Amino acid sequence: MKNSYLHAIKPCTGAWLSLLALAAISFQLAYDKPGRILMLLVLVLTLLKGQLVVDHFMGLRHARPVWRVTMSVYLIAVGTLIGVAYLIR
Amino acid sequence: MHNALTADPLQQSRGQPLPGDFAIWVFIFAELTVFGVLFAAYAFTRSAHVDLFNASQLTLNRAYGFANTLLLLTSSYFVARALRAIKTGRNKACGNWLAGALGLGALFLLLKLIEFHQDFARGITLSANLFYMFYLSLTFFHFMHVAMGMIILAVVAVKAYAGRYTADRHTGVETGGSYWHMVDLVWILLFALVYVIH
Amino acid sequence: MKYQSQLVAKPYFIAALALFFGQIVFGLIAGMQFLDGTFLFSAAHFNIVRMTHTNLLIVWLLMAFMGAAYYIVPEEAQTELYSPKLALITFWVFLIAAALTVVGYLLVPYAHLAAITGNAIVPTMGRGYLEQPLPTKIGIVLVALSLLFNVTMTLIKGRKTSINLILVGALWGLALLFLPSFYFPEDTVKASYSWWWIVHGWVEGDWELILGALLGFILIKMTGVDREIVEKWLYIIMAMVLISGLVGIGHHYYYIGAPAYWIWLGSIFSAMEPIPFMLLIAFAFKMLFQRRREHPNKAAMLWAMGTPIMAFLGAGLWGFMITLAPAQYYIHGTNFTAAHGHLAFFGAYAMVSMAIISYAMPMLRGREANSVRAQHWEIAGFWIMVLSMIGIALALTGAGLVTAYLQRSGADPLGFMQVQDRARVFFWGREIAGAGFFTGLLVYLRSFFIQGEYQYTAQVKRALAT
Ligand code: HEM
Ligand code: HEM
Ligand SMILES: [Fe+2]
Repeated sequence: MKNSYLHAIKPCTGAWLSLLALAAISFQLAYDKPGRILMLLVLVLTLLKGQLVVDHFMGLRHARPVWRVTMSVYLIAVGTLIGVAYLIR
Repeated sequence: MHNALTADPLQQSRGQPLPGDFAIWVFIFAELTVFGVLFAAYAFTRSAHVDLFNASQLTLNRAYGFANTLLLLTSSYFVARALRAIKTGRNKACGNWLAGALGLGALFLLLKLIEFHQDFARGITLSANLFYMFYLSLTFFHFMHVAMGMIILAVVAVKAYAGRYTADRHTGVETGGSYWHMVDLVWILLFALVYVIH
Repeated sequence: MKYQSQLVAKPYFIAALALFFGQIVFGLIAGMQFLDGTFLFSAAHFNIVRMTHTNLLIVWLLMAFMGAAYYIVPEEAQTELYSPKLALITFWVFLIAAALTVVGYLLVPYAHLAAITGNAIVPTMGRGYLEQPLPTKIGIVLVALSLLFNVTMTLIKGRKTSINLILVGALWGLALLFLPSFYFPEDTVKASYSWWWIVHGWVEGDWELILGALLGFILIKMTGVDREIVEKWLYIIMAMVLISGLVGIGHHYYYIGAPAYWIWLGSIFSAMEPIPFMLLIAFAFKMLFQRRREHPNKAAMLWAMGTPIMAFLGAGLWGFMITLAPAQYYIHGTNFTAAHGHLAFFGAYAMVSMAIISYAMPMLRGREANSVRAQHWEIAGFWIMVLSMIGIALALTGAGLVTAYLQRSGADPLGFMQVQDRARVFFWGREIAGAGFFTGLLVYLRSFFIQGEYQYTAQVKRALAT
């Protein structure tokens, strides 16, 4: 009982720690010189963070795949719109 | 009986319905649409005023944004833990995790208020320029969502302490939690967009 | 009908429909004056006819909402109305005040009316929909207070369902939002602000909650779906209304002297305003598909399902087309706006009023549903009115586009009257569709005069025979 309980916590805690780390990286990158690579990098990191929240906190990795895909599509759509807007300038 | 004990209540398979009440998901998707439109509007407006946006963005105190990110991420984690707790039937633990999440939410609001206060003191208003208009309205709109999410979480926490949820009847925790994670998710995007990407 | 006191709703509903009839007559006259500027020239000027048309609209909708409240609140609270007598007195006060006001409009020149009703002391007259003289406005406040007292007391002593809380709360909002009508500063920007707080605050905020509550009530009763599900949807819809509609008021602040950020806030948030209307459609159809019973009142069901669709078309779609700042730049105040106003007011508020009337009137007349023949007339009226209204809206949209192209863009724009001439064909279209609408209204009203109730046994026999 105890064992399985810990086992199930891990991915959630792992996700949390990864999120903190990713946030720290983004924060650090905020001080870099502007540039397209940097922008895309931060964007990808952000979408990754979003997906982590969706999968592990919202728990959609247990839900029917369609919901997880819907969320991914949302994230990618918003990310693409932002990316395009930043690239066209 | 034996089976019920050994079967891991936390081990879920794929193919479950959305966690919580389906109605909250309708709301979540509607809200995400609203924020999506706001983000796109910001991004495309920026593309017409890149220098203005970049220059104004530098005046923001990114440390506040970062601290708030950590707060919300952690509170979201606490809510996830609260759900785990109730799934093993531990009401009090569930309530405690939620109370922790609420505390972090309150800190978020406090920090944001301090930031707003400093902004106003520096003469940043809706009319100052386009970037500040977006910055203020986006973060204030999100601020209201944090407040709303906290009200929902508070109700759930009270019910958890009162023992109204059990290991197999806890839709309320999932419902409130899902909304809170949405608020977190939106902040992640918002933080990157308004404070970081340039 | 479960409580005797619900009967007070009946005079409200009847008066609402009578005033509706009047509204359409004045609409047809106003439409005619577009085609022949001298039509009824000495008897009733266009501005008076138009004002009577729109004021009757507001009054009959308020009548219908009040009737709905007196019908729904006791049933939901599971107790008799606090004071049916007060409700009845209020009805007569309201009706007589409305009638006197219309008579005043028609018999006394407006400026004179303003002079003799104390407009100099507290200036309130002249703004659209709020043209009523001061005594009428005060009367409206008193009538609203009486209604609020009555339904709130009923609510306090009875069961507090979500539908009742939303409905009574929204009625309070309706009354509070009317108060800016007493604030009419000389500064035109401030005057616009306070005018839109009322007009926008009503139709794109508070009244949407009333609409949701009425629709929720009807659908619970007719489909037998769990109350819990209905309530959850209502709360979500309510939240989306407020999220989009509050800041969405900025779509009226674009070029009127308000701060420039409204161009952004108004455009973005009002662009979200169709969402609650979409949710209403989803909600209504979900209820329809999950229904646990076949209610014999098919006509009421048709109104209830038609309302969110038409509301979405008129408010959501037509509203969206004109809501972004660049669109408003060309289209503000043209007949495109009128197209939106007609389709939205009819699709949302006129139709939800007829939905609750259609559901409640048979009950108030002592039967669950009307005879099949009466329902056929009512359903025919539904379709004729709905299709004619779409016709009116399309014609006005055409006229609006003519103005946008010929008067507001291009290097050599034409003058107002020249453009009106070019748009004449659309004004004809509006008047012809208007005549269609009037026919539909007559057909609809006719259904009330067909006696008899729904015959279950006969219907079952017929169904089995085929
Ligand atoms: C049932 C709901 C609604 C009703 C009854 C309604 C009704 C009206 C009416 C009568 C007007 C004209 C006001 C005047 O006399 O100047 C108007 C204006 C306007 N409405 Fe709505 N409306 C509704 C919902 C919406 C929605 C959802 C939107 C946006 C998506 C919208 C956008 C607008 C805009 C932009 C104007 C200003 C037009 C102008 O100034 O030319 N409306 N509305
Ligand atoms: C026989 C059908 C109708 C006709 C011929 C008609 C005609 C008219 C006319 C000529 C105006 C004045 C427009 C102007 O000032 O340029 C008007 C305004 C208005 N009518 Fe109607 N109407 C009809 C039905 C309705 C219905 C059923 C409703 C709502 C349920 C309605 C709501 C309004 C509103 C809200 C306005 C003010 C619009 C604005 O200022 O943009 N009308 N109507
Ligand atoms: Fe509006």
